[in-house]
Amino acid sequence: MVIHLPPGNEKRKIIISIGNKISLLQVFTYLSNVQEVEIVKEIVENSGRCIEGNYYFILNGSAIDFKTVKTIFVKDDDELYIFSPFVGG
Amino acid sequence: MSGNIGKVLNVDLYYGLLKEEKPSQEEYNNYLGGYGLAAHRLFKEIPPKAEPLGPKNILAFTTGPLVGTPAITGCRFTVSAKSPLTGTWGDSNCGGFFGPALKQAGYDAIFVKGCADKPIYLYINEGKAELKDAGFLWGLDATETENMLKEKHGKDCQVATIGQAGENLSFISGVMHDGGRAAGRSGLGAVMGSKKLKAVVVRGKLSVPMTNEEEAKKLRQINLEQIKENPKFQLFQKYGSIDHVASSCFSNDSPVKNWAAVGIDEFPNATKISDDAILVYETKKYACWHCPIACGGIYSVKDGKFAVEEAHKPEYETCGMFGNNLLIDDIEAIIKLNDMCNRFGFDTISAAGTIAYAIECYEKGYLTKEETNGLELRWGDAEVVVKLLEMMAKREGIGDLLADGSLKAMHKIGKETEEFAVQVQGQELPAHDPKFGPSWGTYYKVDATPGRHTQIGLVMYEIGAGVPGLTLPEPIERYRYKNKGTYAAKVQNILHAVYSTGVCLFAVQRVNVYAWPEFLNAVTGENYSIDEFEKIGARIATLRQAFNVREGLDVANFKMPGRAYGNPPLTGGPLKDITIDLDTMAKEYYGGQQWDKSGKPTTERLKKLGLDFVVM
Repeated sequence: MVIHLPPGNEKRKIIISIGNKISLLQVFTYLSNVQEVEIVKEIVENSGRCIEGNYYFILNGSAIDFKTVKTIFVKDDDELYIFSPFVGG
Repeated sequence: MSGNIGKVLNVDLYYGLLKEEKPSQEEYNNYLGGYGLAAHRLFKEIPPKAEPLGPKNILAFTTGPLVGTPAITGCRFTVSAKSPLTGTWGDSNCGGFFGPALKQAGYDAIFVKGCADKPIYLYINEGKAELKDAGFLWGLDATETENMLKEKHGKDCQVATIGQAGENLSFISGVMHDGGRAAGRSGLGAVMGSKKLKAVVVRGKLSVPMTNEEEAKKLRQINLEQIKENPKFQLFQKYGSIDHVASSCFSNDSPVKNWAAVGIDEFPNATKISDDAILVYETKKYACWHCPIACGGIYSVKDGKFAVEEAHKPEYETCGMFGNNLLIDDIEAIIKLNDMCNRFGFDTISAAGTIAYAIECYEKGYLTKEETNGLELRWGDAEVVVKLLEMMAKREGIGDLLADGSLKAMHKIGKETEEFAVQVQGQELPAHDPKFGPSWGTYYKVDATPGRHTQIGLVMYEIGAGVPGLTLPEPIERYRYKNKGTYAAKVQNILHAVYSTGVCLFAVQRVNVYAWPEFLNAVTGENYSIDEFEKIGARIATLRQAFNVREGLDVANFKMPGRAYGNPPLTGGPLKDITIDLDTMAKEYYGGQQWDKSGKPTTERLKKLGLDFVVM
């Protein structure tokens, strides 16, 4: 599975092997606890939020709500974009 | 008069008269500065139905009581007039150094009426104003003009000017400053051009009088420490607004292929024109006057067909509109196009939006190669866009057709192309899609200057944050419409007052909102509260609206382009099948402002806000 991270992260793209179908929350927990990806840690700890608003997630081209990550199952050829909140300028 | 110099300059170019005036304390208190003060003056002094490019229109340069003070980002100046682009109230603001310099030169504001019979510029040197011949400047671009005026009057002067687009009365031209800052929107460069006013040059060392400067400095320190605690703040300092070009494209917040396509599918290279890919070209950081954020940058493209020696960093809007909206994934081309707009004096949003319209017309057979002077208008072809911009600035061939924006072009090309002209009342929409942040739609439609992204208000809540420190009585959900318009009015009114003090949107998004009346109290010695800000903002909003109503405009029926609110909806991507309920939000907004269903302020509301002089 490919995960794209927003600007400000050392790695902008993480590729992980999923193997069996697992939930997106499990992916987040793995990235947070095992790979220690700071931004994902923050996302998990704060339920998808930060001081500037909600993180925005796009899985395979569709927007998803952080509240649903427990019930969304992913596989190796999935692609997830994580965006920091942005309000424009 | 603390916080203000206490003087404004009235200029009549027809008679060549310059007259100082001391506004009353009441006027400063009731309208602050920025577009608040301008709305008060211009409503009274521009006669109804005045020609935007005629002598009766008045061009205002206003600062604000926090400009030139320790308040964070207190550096903005606002340009206002009746807009030739929309026929409505027009205002646009700009950072850099001109705002503080105008006050240091002795004036809080300048109001220019009449038209000169030959090119002139206004030179103000510490309280002494004079009109000077600008024959030697006419025809130069904005950057060349600034350089030449600084050579003549000293490097310590500051310049607001127009480029060739303003001289040639392009309705999408702006007022430029410091080689790449722009009061770009509403076509105010054309108003300046119509007056043959090439530039305003200011210099001086006067201090802004403040009741308690030490307190203002202390507040600056406290608030800076607070915002620095947010780790995202350092990211914004690093990137500025380009941090979210790709994010906005992939989420479809930003328009793709003239608002008709899905970013993640049709513009997968958005990362090539975003954040780190842009920073590669930064040669040094740029900060506006005393700004601790310093989100700007100076850029250079060393060689190749889009080489630029020294240019300002393209902002998010420019990258989105010239990038994903035209499918241009070459960041060097975007840096070049940005610099061209800065030099010619074009608003990058409207210029790119209009070009997107032209490309779609060409693609679908409404413009022929003969009509485009042999140019093949294709998505993603940056070289053709360079050529088009040049032609637009000079009003040559197809450029003349496009120089006044997409609505005017549509009137000539044909009503059947209306769908491709993504504008409200003539003003091209900026790179934020109301389907992503529905309250953009409200403000694009109902604000007195339609189609403006800087009227951000409730969108900050829709993304899960809010105006820092300002809690609303109920949570705001992105796609739940009930009560949204009412809150959109409330938040916007508070921000109208904040903006009218002369501070920057990027600080408003980060500094606790209660800090702004505190700054103002320290500077002026008055006793403002957030409630008072809301009332002042309501007064400003109502007066701007009254300006439009008096013009006879059908304000409630300003038409939003279907693509911007999901009519029809996108068939794929993150915003698939979304159509926003614009009608409910707009109606509730009017209710929140206490305007009637037609958008007309009620007599009771006018009285309550002290606007008895407004006869509707």
